[in-house]
Amino acid sequence: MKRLLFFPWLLAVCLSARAEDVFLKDGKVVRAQGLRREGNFLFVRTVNAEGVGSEALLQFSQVERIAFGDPPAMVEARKLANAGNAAAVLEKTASLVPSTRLFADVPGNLWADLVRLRLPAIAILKDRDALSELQKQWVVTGDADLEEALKLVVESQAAGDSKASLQRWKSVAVPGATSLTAGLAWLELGKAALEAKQWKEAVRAFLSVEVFVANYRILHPPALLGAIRAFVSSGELKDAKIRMEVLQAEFPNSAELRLAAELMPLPPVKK
Amino acid sequence: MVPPIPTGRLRGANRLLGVPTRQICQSLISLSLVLVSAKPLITSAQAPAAGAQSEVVLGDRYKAAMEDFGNGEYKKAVASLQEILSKATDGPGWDSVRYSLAAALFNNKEYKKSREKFEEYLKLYPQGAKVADAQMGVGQCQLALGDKAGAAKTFALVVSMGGANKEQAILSQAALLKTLQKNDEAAGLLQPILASGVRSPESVEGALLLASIEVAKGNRDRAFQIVNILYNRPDIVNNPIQLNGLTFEVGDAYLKAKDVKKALSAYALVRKKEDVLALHNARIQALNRRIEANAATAKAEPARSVDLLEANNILRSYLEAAKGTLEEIEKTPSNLIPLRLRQARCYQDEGRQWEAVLLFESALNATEKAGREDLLYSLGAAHAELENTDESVAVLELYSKEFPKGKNADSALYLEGTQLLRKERYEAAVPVLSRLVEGFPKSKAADRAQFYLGNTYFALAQYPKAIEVYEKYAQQYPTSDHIEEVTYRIALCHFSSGVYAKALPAFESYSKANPGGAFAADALYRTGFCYFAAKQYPDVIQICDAWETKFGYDSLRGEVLSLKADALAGKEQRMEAVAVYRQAIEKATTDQVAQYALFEANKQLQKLGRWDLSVDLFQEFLNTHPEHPAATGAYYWLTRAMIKQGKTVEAKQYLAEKIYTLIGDRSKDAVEQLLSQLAQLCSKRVPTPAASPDASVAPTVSDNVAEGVVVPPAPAYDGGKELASFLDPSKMADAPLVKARLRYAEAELARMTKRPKDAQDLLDQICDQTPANALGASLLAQCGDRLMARGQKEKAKVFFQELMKAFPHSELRDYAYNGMGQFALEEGKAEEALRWFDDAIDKIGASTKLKDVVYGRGRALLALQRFDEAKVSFEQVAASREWKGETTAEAVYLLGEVFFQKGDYSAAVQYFQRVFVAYQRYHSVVAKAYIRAGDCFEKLAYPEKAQAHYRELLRKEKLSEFPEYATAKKRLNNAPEK
Repeated sequence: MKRLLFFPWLLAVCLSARAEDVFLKDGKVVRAQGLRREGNFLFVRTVNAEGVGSEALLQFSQVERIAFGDPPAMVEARKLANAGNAAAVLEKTASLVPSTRLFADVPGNLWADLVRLRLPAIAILKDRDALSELQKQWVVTGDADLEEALKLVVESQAAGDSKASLQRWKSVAVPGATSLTAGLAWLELGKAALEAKQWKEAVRAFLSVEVFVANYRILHPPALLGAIRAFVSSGELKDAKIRMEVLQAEFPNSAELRLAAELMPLPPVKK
Repeated sequence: MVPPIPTGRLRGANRLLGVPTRQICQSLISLSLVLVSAKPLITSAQAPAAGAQSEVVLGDRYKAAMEDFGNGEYKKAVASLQEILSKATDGPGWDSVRYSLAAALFNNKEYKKSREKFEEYLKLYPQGAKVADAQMGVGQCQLALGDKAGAAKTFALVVSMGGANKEQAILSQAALLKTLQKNDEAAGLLQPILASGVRSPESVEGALLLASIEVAKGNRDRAFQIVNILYNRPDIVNNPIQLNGLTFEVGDAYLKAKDVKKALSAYALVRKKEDVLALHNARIQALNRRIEANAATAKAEPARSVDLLEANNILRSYLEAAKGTLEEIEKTPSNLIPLRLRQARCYQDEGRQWEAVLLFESALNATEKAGREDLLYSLGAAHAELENTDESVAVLELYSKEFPKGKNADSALYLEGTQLLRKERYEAAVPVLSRLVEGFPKSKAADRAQFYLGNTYFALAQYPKAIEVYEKYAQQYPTSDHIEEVTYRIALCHFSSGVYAKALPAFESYSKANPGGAFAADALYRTGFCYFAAKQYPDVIQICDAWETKFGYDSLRGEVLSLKADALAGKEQRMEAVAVYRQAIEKATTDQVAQYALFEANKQLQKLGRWDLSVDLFQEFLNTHPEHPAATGAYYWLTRAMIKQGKTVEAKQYLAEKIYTLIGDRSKDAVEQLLSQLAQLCSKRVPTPAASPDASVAPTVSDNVAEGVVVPPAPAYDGGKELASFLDPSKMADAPLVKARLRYAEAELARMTKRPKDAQDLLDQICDQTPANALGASLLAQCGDRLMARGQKEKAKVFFQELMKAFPHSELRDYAYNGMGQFALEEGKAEEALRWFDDAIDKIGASTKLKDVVYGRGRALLALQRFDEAKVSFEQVAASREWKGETTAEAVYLLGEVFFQKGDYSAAVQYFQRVFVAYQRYHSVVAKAYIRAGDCFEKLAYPEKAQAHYRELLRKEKLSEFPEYATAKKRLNNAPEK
């Protein structure tokens, strides 16, 4: 029994090497060096000015929110997402899932932030295993966009490019929408348009991702690659080149850049 | 193109010193109310002279005054407070009354009096509780009265006093310094507020002000950094609209500095109005929740109640401010269009028009109208840039509809007009360019628009209108860049109208004025053509020679040589003409010219009976131009010349050889002509020198007996076998096209040997068994027609569409235009039908299907109730001898219909009667004409005559199969008995 109680504490300590502020409903703030949870109770480890540590017990009903500090892996994953490296994002965030999920119902939690990193990466990579794992672990995020995005990704992987899927994507890909759902829908619509050789439609869909869904840079490389593909296919090489330059400047290490380079016709050899 | 920054708090007139005026007033109000509640007023000791009753009265008055104050009734509050002060002597608590009066005067915008009262307070109560507040009030009054230097000193004094007003004083002072352009000093003042981070509303105010100062100083990155921090703290930013305004400012600064990426990052932070509202509502709810939670805790834990209630007082002041801001946000216009315009500009600066288009389109449904004009124009222009002509035209049309007098109205019309011209939509371009020319004569684009308008009329072959526009242009813009071309085009209009008498002097005048002009070679060539029209052949030859001397290497040389050859032919110098035509073939730069010269030369040789030279001509042409579009036609004529030379067997052999090489090539649309020719040659026995001159009649046994010659009868001639001997499928590719073409040859043979049923069946097999995309133009055209006759509309459409798509330059496209027009008519789409028929005539001349097209056009015009134009079309059909047949009868019938629908029954009846008098063979038309004639007489109140027509119809048994027969019967039965 003792062991069982000790184990989560160790886990919490390991995960909370950084300080986290616990904001109480009465306006007080407790700076915690570690947190652990048991049911409706929160064990807060504090260290006083003399460096003496102690543990306080709080009821969750007293807590207004916890300002969880970003774990280093999350910081790194954000950088990777901004660099358009979906595979590395998935890898980097895998270890954060259990601990983040544990506090998913506490205001200020990082669960939604973690999903915001993992879900688009899963969608881009079409990683069925990771998706199924995420579905199993799913806890309500409180973010309607994320809930909708998950549904869309699951449906898309199940239904493929069916007419019903297309309709569904179209219904969320509203011009000006900034949501992750819209971003993912535009990627799918772009791919469908490419398949159908509807180049203008493909260009519209892919470019909408960068223009409107600025907050999800992880979606930009596949979207730019799709747009380049559409431009090259329709013979609009100047337009393709401009987006190629964007890809090169913004995502120099992305896999999409290498693929795009293969698409671009070689410049004429100077005699 | 980017419109000014939306007037938000940052630049708004209601802003005072970086802190909104309302907010300052709000703080004064709050303080005053606190005073009311904190200090009970005027005790008996403080007012001994007044009785207890009057004390109570004054106390009530003060309460009432503070209520007025709280309700924003400052004037009333001032009056009440002044009354209190006049009726009682000074005493403890009196400081509150004096302070409240000063505050009420300030809020009532009586700054001079307010300042006096604040100063009076400071003089009377140097140790008073509100000294710092009063000093702050003095500063605000000084500022309001324009005494900036004095205000700065006062704020500095408040800062030095410390206390609750310190931060507010710093903010006011910094804002003041900013207006005095002392940005460094202002920034220095603000730094301490932000030193401990952005945690309080005051620090937010400070951060906003500092960011604005950093922008002014050109420190965009520092400003952007602050803005980013503020966006991450929506819980304490009381005025998100102000933050949005600041973000626009930062983005604009980046855009101005051409740092597009950062500008886009800044604009990406700007929140839409609905998002701001949602966030702000959430903030209000959170404040409410905190107040409720504190109250509940205070109740449960009395020991903490003082602290918690104090915290709630602060939270309530935030809540009040937040509610005020909410009202302000609701009144603020949407920022969507200004935001999208800016973001689009960023992309456009990087040559990314598509992204700009997406942004413009996303704002089109914005409810706010401000900025819509710029939005629509920019979208139209971006589509034009991308050559998305249809989209561009649609958007610019919308612009012109919504903003006919807008600032870009002329540019929008110009852009729309040029886009329509790009798509060759000339009819649509005319009203657009005309609106620009007539409605905006002073526009910079007016001259070009007028020039293009003339060109548009020219393209529409409306030469008189074109001349009118060009002449007006020449008058209005005599020194314009286009004047030479306009002069030339006027001559060209006369020329194209066939008015050579006017064209000739116009070309000569042009040539004289522009000897080295861009159109000099063309003008001289056309001058020669004018002389040719007047049959002045020697002049033509002289001009052509002069042309060769002057412009020998011009690309028109082939045309000029052809003209010279035409003139020689006109003079009946046929051999000389042939020689020049051959030169023309050699020098021609276009296929059409070479083709013209080739077949004209052949005509001359035919007239001379020089079939040998015809053979030479075509053989030489085929040697030098094997891939020429006229090559297949040349094979045809070559074999005809061979036949004329009596070399029928060789001709068959030659045709077969050529067919073998061409039959699998879909693009060679004259292969069917060769097949038809071979079928024709095989349809009859080849006459041998000993045989009868009439090759189609084989010598009979009796003929031979009569001549005393005993010869066995010749075997019956089998054309099919003969044809098959030349077309061996095993030597050809096994392709649907080849099979279809071989069937076509059989069908042609069947038609020529008078087996129409077989011919039709074979064509049906081609229609049913060959996919449209496998056939050449000729079979697509014929199959489309056949399917149309069979009533298979949808399948016919597929063939016609394939014909238009795969053979965009084929002369046989008129089959498709006609077919599509007929279908549109059937579907009741008269306007669409009219477009198809007009295109058939205007775009390709409708050579093969002219009769059907003109007739169809008439029907479309009739359906559109454009009676006069319909009449012209029907008259054209009815008057054409070559088109005589059922269509003529139909045209006459429809002429009657035109007048019937116009209500001119007397005129109508004449046409209907003409049908059953002159076109009795066409029973279905005749039957309809009888009934319609009856209708006319009934309308004219001659029922007997109408009945006579019905009876006449019933007498004609051949008409009994038509529904009109039953109609006539019914009408007679219903007629009243005499």
